[in-house]
Amino acid sequence: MEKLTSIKRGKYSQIEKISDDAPLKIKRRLLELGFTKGEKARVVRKSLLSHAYLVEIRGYTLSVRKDIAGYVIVVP
Amino acid sequence: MINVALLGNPNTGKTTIYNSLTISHEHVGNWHGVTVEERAKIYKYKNEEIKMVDLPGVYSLSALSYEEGVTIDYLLNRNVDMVINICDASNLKRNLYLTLSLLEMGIPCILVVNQIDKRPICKIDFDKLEKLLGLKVVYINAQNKKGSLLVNDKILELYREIKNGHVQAKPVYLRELNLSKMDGYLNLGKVKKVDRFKDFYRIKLLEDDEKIKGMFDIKESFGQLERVAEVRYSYIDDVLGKCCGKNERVYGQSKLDKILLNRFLALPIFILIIAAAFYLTFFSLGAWLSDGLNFLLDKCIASPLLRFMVGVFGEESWIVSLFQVAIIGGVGSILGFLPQVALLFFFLSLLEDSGYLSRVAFVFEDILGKVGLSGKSVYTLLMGFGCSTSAVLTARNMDDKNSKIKTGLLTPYMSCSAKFPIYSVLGGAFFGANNIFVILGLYLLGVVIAILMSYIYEKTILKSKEQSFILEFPPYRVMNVKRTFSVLFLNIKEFLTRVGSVILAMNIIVWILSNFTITFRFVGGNIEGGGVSMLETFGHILSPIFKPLGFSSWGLVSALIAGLVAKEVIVSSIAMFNGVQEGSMALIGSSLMIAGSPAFFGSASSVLSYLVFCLLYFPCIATASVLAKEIGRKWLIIGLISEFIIAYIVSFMVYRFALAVESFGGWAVLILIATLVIIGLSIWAIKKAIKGRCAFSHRCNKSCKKR
Repeated sequence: MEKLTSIKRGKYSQIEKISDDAPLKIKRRLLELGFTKGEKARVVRKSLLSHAYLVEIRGYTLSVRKDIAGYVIVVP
Repeated sequence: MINVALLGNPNTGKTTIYNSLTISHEHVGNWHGVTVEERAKIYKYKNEEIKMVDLPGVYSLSALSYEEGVTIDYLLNRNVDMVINICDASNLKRNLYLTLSLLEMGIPCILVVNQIDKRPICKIDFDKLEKLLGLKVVYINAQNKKGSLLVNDKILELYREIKNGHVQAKPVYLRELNLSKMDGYLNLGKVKKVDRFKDFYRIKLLEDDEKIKGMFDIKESFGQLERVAEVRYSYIDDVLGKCCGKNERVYGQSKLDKILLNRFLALPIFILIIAAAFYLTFFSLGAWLSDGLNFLLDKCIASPLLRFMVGVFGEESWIVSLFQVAIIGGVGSILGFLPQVALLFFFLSLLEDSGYLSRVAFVFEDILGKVGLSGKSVYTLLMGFGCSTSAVLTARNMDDKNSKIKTGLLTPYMSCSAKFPIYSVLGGAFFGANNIFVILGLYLLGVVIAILMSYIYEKTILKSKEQSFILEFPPYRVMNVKRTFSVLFLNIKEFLTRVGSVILAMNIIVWILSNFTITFRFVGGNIEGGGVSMLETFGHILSPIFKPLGFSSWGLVSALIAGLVAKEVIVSSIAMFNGVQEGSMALIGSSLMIAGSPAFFGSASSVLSYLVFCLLYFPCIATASVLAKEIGRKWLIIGLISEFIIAYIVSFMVYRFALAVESFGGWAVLILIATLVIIGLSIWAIKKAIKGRCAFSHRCNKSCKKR
């Protein structure tokens, strides 16, 4: 299991869970946005200093801070 | 009356639909969370009164953000008859999540699928969708008028069914969740209407929603958050699998992004776009239109009217003076800026509608994150170039309270459209063609100061907390012709209303104060013989404060005070004080150089200092009052004090530096740069030295690693 942020850019991987380190609020938001178990996600793009990530999930695109995207645990 | 609430994910076109249903002109844009407050309008359709409420966009019914709090509160407590849930046809897979929460809640619901983009992302069988979800589905294009009729018909249809006792089916998966085991907890709190929204509360408890748990005074954790989300989403996949084709593309991704979001090109492209908009607005197109309008106003309206007035009242009458100075001289000097202001707001809307702003937020997240803001602040700050008052409201979108306060406090540093006339008239008089650089410099200065202030706030009193920067990327969209015209028309109307109300009133007040003595004797322009006007007395008291900044004539100081009501009034007041009787910019400009006139600048350095002061000092009253409401009085006062101090210090520095350039020429610039470099290097070196010498040696000691 790895963090979504450590998967190579552009490669799809399958979501395993939201890390237990995530604050409840963040966990809830990520689940609502569709980061549920079994769903496929990928990093589309990183910003210049890799502070922000552009993530594709459930057929749409979302920008999110690196530490938040790091809470998404995936199976490569 | 039928009480209807409009609800949906951010940026699905709720306000567009609200506008077409209620025939309103509320602000819309291709950005996440343009609507921050509920608004309502009552209208009649086929003899039935409908109260339509537009609620802020939400992802779900858990009160994580401000907008969600507003929305949930409204649904639970305001006896809503039905909800119109708006979904973007291109993003149904995610949008339906909210629909399910509404169905669970049991509020009668109409699903409006809005086809915003011309090319659908997949084929949808709407009849099947309607059957599977068990609610009414309408498929429309929100920008099309026909859609609103369809929605209205469905509202009446559903209302009749509700009256006849129709009950909307709850989603089937609720059985799986085994909700009845939560019933024991529901009796614990004193919550009203628990029975009506029983399933809502049961699920919220299962999801460990802090707010709802607090209402029932429950400490226990149920740990079913993931399961509820998974059950809902697998239901959506199941439904959509039966009635949707395969997705042809991903929502919010475009080939354009390869260039516009390219790691190295993104920033230069953004600067180019802004520079082009800026140049078109203020210098080429906008300036030509402005000149033309000024000419027309003068030749066709002002001059004939004045001749008529003189004929009726005689030249010496105070009414003629009021008309000539306050209306033609004062209001006239502002009215000519109509094309530029309208164009500025138009370009801002264009940017907003295009979907590019989300990309800009993404690009700036790196930089702004470092100074304790979020990429989301870009929206508020950019809107600040238009009008700070309305921009400050959008700061509500921020993730945490401190970032919201910070963004609110920084917005006034952006040069709003009302400040442009000041730069244009005063700068134009002294710098001529070079004024473009002065204006550019002022805009940049505002941005730089905002970034610096953000850094200072972040390090001292306003540390930002958890920021997620969760922002959905919308697809790129092009404004259609109809919307272009309506945006232009609205902006022109707003500007004219502003000039006709606030600015006109302020001009008349300033005219009275500057033309009558304290004993209310008419001084009437001829200052030498007639005594001292109220404003002159007042201005003289304050002017010593501004002496170190290089401007101290009473007219300039009083103009700053008058400008607190509306910044444009600074220019019109100066015109009035100097007795400029026509609105022409050139005339106001040349009057500034006449020694002894009430608003007199000694040199170009004083003009620069004055302009900088105008840029940075207190925001106008309208902005201040909105800020007081949004971030609280305490922060407003802190903001106002720091704005005054910053304005004073920076103006002083600019003045001294400009004076040095005036006397030493280019050498002064070199000396300044050298000093700055030396100061910068020494600060850096000292910082590194304090941190433990890592910067100078590769051998790291233990205490160093700990850090």
